[in-house]
This record gives sequence, structure tokens and C-alpha cells, in this order.
Amino acid sequence: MTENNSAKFEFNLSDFYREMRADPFVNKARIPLGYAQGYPMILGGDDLKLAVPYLRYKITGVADETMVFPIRYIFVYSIKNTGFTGFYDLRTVKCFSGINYGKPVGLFRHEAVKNLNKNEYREKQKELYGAYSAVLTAALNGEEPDPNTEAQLRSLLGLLLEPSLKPFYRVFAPDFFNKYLAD
Amino acid sequence: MSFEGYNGYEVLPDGMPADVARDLAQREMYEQQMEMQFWAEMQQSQIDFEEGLRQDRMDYLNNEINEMQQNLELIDSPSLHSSMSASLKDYERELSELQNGGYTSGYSDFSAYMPADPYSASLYEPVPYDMPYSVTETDAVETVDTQDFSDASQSNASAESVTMDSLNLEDTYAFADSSDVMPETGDEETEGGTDSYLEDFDGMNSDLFDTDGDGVEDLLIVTNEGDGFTEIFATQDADGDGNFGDKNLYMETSDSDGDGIEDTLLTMTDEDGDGEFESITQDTYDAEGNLINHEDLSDGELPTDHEDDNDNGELPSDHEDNTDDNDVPGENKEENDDEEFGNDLESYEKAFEGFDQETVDTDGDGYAETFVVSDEGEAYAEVFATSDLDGDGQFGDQSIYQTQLDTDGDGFYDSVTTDVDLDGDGAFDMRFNEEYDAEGNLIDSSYEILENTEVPNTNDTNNTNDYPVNPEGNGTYYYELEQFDPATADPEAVTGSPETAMEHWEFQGDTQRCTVYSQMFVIEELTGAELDIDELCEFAQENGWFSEANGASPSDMNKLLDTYDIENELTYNNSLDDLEQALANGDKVIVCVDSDEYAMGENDDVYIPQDGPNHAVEVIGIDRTDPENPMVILNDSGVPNGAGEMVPMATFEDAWEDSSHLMITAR
Repeated sequence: MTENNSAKFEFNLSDFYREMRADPFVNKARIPLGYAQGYPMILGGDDLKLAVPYLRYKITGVADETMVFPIRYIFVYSIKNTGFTGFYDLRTVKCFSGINYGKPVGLFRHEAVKNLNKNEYREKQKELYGAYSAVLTAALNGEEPDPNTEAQLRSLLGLLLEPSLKPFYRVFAPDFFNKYLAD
Repeated sequence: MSFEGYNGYEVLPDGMPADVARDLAQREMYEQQMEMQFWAEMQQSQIDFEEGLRQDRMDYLNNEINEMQQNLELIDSPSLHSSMSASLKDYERELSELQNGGYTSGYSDFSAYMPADPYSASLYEPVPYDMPYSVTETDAVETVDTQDFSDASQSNASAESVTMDSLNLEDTYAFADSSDVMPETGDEETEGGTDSYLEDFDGMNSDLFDTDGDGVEDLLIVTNEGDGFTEIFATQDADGDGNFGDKNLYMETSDSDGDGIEDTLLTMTDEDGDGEFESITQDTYDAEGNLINHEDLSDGELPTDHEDDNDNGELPSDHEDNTDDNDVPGENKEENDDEEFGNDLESYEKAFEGFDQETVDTDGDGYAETFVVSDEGEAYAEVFATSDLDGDGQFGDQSIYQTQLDTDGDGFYDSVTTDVDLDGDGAFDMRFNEEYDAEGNLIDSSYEILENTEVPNTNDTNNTNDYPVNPEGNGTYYYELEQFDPATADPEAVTGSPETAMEHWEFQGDTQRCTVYSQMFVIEELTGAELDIDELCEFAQENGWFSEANGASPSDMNKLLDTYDIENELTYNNSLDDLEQALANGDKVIVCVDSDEYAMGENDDVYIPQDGPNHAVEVIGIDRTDPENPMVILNDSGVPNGAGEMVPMATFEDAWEDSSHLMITAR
């Protein structure tokens, strides 16, 4: 989060994800190599939190048959207080403990993105991160986000998020789900 | 459970009024309902996923069975017919098992870690090493058909000194799936007698021996040899009742790294004659013949790539690609043996040895620029032609492959398919389909633009683990990476001590042990100690720094160094200059990388949604011998040729970036 010239705060999701990997709190969680950050959930409340999921993928070498595993870890970060407030290994959370984390729940690329190569996907992802950043920046500054930006976030997240992971989002953050992922 | 709580809602997502939700009991009930629903959805997702695999497999089997049944009617050769019949039976058996709800090893490479019963899965299933998985048929099957220019080269087994007990053969290779060569006990189609086996292996080199000198031949050995592989099957009549199969041995060798020396030996033994291999082992040797890895695979399942080990160290490709199953030679040679199979006339003549061949001067300039090979049988004919248009002695500038079939059995070819490679890239660009009547008049024709079948083809279900280098990408393939050679490097241009460091490299195989191996290399280099990797892993696991199932986290990547009192720092956000300076200072360096960037290639259609670190390697040097192409030298335990593996600096940077440039320096 940075302060721009207008004494307003800015939040950049791409920067945050990069910095997150080197954060001592995240390192203490001892996430095994091979886990990657998923698309975050914006949580409500006064201190504006972000829930960042971690999950594994496994390349098989075949297009559209990269395995998607269940979300296993979640970090909760307070954007306003610029610090992590929670870490969850979902194996220990009752609702999620029945999941077999050793088995995939789906394949990537899912139908909606089968026509996107890596560069095209990354471009869309960059746009999505931009939309996240804009929405969070507005919230950080006590402003209503631009409806067009919210629509963009909704559209891109619906496109890029693997459908097999949607149930996690619905349970973990129903408000976010209803606003950005529900049909 | 929900981290959002219910503040601010007038109406909850499922319509429950907020005031009701504020009632604790009702809220708890609601939460429970959500939990159950989620559980059910997740489990269903996993069940659906498995069922999808099963259905895919059944679809594949159905297609293969139909095709084989049609082709069987057209095959003249008894040995090919026998081989295909055996394969057909296997497919039908597997299909039946799947249709009855069973699980078969052939239907899913995921089966290595997916339990047979999804409801009995442990929450902590071991996750196998991150090697690419093929999701398709891995049982190499000799599915030859009328369009087959298979290499039928044979080898002659030396007979006299060979017994079942003394079999210590170096050159073996798989007869495709073992079940193809293991007649079932009690199978009505084979009584297990000598004649039955000889009939099954008609056309291959077979020898009978009397190992106990009682005048009765009790050991049958069958061998088959081809480019880069040898296979041997031996079966014994131990009780002298005239029926073989009392003991069976099956061995295969392959040249996994493409250096012309067969370096991988798969050995499967059936000691009790029940038709099932109880013992399966795979040994890997270096170029000097020293054993460098031994794996016990005796879970009854063949390794996922056992029949593919012949392919020049490429990640698994199907053995049947080597036997040219409906592949044009131009594709075949690029797929399997780019370095050893040339485009010159001699190579083509050798590849099609045994078939009718001729070279033709089609343009009358005195140079026979077109090589033509043909084959004909009952109800079919096929022709392959390739041209050297520019006269440089290299054929393949343009190629065609034509099949003619008599589909209605009237003695006239009525269906002609012609594939054309116009640009000489080894991939057919167009296909022409023509139909003729009995008088030879064209009655229908069409053409199609073929999909990009650039070899290897990532969508080819028979070759799923080879995928092409994207010429626009920065990625490489581990088997394409060179190893540091001190003889050719400029010592003044090399930072670090790669030559001595390479001596400590070991291959981690199918494990998650990269962080332990990396530290082991460093500890051995700094202390001179020789460490045992199993002991190290056990120690690290006991201390919670590592697990065989999941590997380690970056923050635990220096714990073994600490244990050995090796001074070290773990830092992030380092630069290449920082790394090079550390090497120049004499430090040992371990980094965290996204190995997919350099070891798995960069096919634009094969990727994961988010980049992230998945591997640990030791950086042992930087080579600027070619200043335009600086290379980062690694001791990479994750790949077979990882000793002194040279990765282009830009590619390394891409891979390292995904860990936020984590670096451990030790001294």
C-alpha cells in the first residue's frame, strides 16, 4: 500500500503478491514448495481484509490437463493495518477437513479459457489484478468503487477462476462470492 | 466459520433474514448446512473428476477396439495378427472391468496416488514427485495395422550359456505391455505348451534350451531388438510337464538420455507362474555402466514411462512411436531420434528395410530426388514418398503418404487418403480423401487442413509427455540442456567451482527431496563428508523440516546446514549480481526456482494459472565463455542430467524470479 501525491492510499495486488512470498509471516507458515497463490477474496469489515488462498497445480504435460488441487491454505491480510491477521491450514478447519488434498478437483485450462495461451492468460490476469487493485484502493480510501471496475472484476474473475474452486469461495467468503462469482 | 460474519446483511445469500441469522442456534444450523453442502460438492467434484477419467478411458478403449477389429480383418501376417489379437483381448478385458465399475492401472496415470476407493482415502495421501503425467494409454501396444511400416529388425540371442538363473542380460526392452507376452494360465487359447508360445512369438527370435540336461527343452527365450531398445522374455517349464510359464522373466533396456548407450534396465519376474509379475525393478546406469539408481516398483504397476525409456531421455513417449505405428517416417524420426536418424537417403533406406524401395528422378535432371517406398497386402496398399528438392542430399523437403483401401472387398481400391507435407517440417499439412468406383472413376473427393501436428504433438494421446519448444518462449527442456564441460569452458570466464561441485550431484528420482539434496551437495562440498540421503531425509523429517509427501518449505531449506554448523544466510530479493558475487567469494549457493520455466519447456498451451517456486537447486557457477549467452550452472537433483546443468541466464532469471529471488549462501 502506498501513499500517492494526493495523500490517498493505493493498493497494488501484483506488488502485494510478490512481496508476500518474502514476508516473514508467510514464511513462518512453512508452505511447501509447489503451492501457488490463488485469486484473493475481499472480505468485508472495517479493516478491509484480503483472503489469499494457496493451492497446488500439477502439470501433466498435456494441454488442458493440468491438475487443480483443493485450496489448502489461506492467509488473511488486513490492508488497512498492513499486516497479516490469520493463517488457516484448511485440513484443520472443520468444514474443509473432509477433503482429500491429495486428489485433484479439476483440470486447467477449464472451458472458459481453453482458447487462451499462457501469454493471453497472463494478460487477462494482469487486467484482473488491476481491477482488484482499483476496487481495493477505492475501499481503502473510503470511496465507492467504480461500477465499471467492479463489473470488470466480476467478468474477469468469472472467466479465470477455475470452476472447481468456486465452492471454496462460496463458503469462505459468501459476500464476495455473491457479488463477484454468483451466476 | 465464515470470516465475513453476517454484519451488514439484510438478507443472507440463501434468503435467511438477518434477524433470524442473529439467532445463534439458527446460525449454527445454517453454518452446518453450508458445511455439508460444501463437503458434498467437493467430494462430488473429485468423484466427477475420477469418473471423467474413467469415461475418457472407456471411450478410448472403445475406439481402439473398433479399430483393431477392423484392422484384424486386413492383416495377413500371422505374427502381427497374433500380436494384435492379444492386444485386443487386453483392451476388451480392461473395458469390461471399467464398465463393471472397477479400476484399472491403464486408465489413469493418476492412479499412482488416487486410491481405488475414493471414500477410503486418507487425508494425507502421499503426493508423488512432480513429474509430468500422461493421462492416456501408457501400455505400449503393438497396434500394427495395414498402414504399418514397423521396423521388424531382430536380434539373435546367444543360446548355449543362458539359463533362467544366469540371465544377466544388458540389452532388453519391453514387448509393449507385459500382458501381451504372458499367455494367461488356463486361457483356452493357449495351453502353455511349447507350440503355443512359439505360435505367440511367431516371427521373433526364439530359442529353446535344455537347462537341466534331461533331454527336454525347458527354457524358452524370445528376443526383439530395435533402435535404442532390446527386449527379452524368458519362460520356463520348471516342473517338466511340457507347459511353460512356471517362471517368467521379462526385461527391457532403453536409452533414456539418447547417447546411444542403453542405460535403463527394467526387470520383471514372475516366480510363481501365476502370470503376474511380483517383482519389478528399474535400474539406471551411467555411461560407464555404473549403477546410479535402483527403484523397486513391485506394486504390480509398471512405471508410467517404462515403455518409453528408449526415447533419448525425453519424458515418456509411447514405445509404439518407435515402431512406426501409422506414423510417417518424417515424423517418427523427429519424435524419437532426431540426433541419430538423418534425412539422408541411407537413413531412409535403412528405416524401410524390407519394403519395396526406389529412388526416382521425377524432373529428369539426372538426380533421383524422390525416394519412394511401398507396401501392399490384401485389400490395401500404401506408399510413402519424400523428396530432396534442393539437391543437398537431405530428403524430407516435401513428403506424401498415401493409403489405398479396398473397403468393399470387390478387389478394387476405392478409398484413397493422401497426406501431404508441403513445407518439410515433418508435419502433414493437408489431407486429400478420394473415393472411386469399381471402374476407377472418382466419385467423391474432399480435403482438409490438418491440425498442427508439429512433432512432438502435445495433443497426441500416444505421445503426451513430449511437447515442443516454443521458439518464441524462453523455456527449455531439461534433456536439451547441456552439462558444464570444463574442457570447453574458458576458466577465466567461469565463476564458482562447477567442476568439483558436479562430483557431488545425485539424482533425486521420483521424490520431493530437492531441498535435502541441495543442502547435501553443499555440506559435502564444504565438509568433505559423504552423506547418506536417506538418513538426511529421515533426520529432516523427524525435525519437521521436510516430509516425503510434501517436500519442504523455503524457510526450512537451510536447517540441515545449521545442523552441520555451516554458516549461512537465507535472503530474498537478490539479484543476479548478488548471486555471482557470492560465487566469486567462494560461497555455496542454493536457490528456489520455478523449475517448469527451464526443465519442462514452455508450450504456450501448457501452464498453470499462477507461477510459483516448486524446486530447490544448487547454483555451482556462472559461465560467460560465450559472453552473448551467459549460462547459470546448476547441480539440479530433479533431472537425470542435472550435474552441471547449464541454463541460459535469462531463463534462469525467469525461474528464480518466481521465488522472489530467494537465495541461501553458505560457507
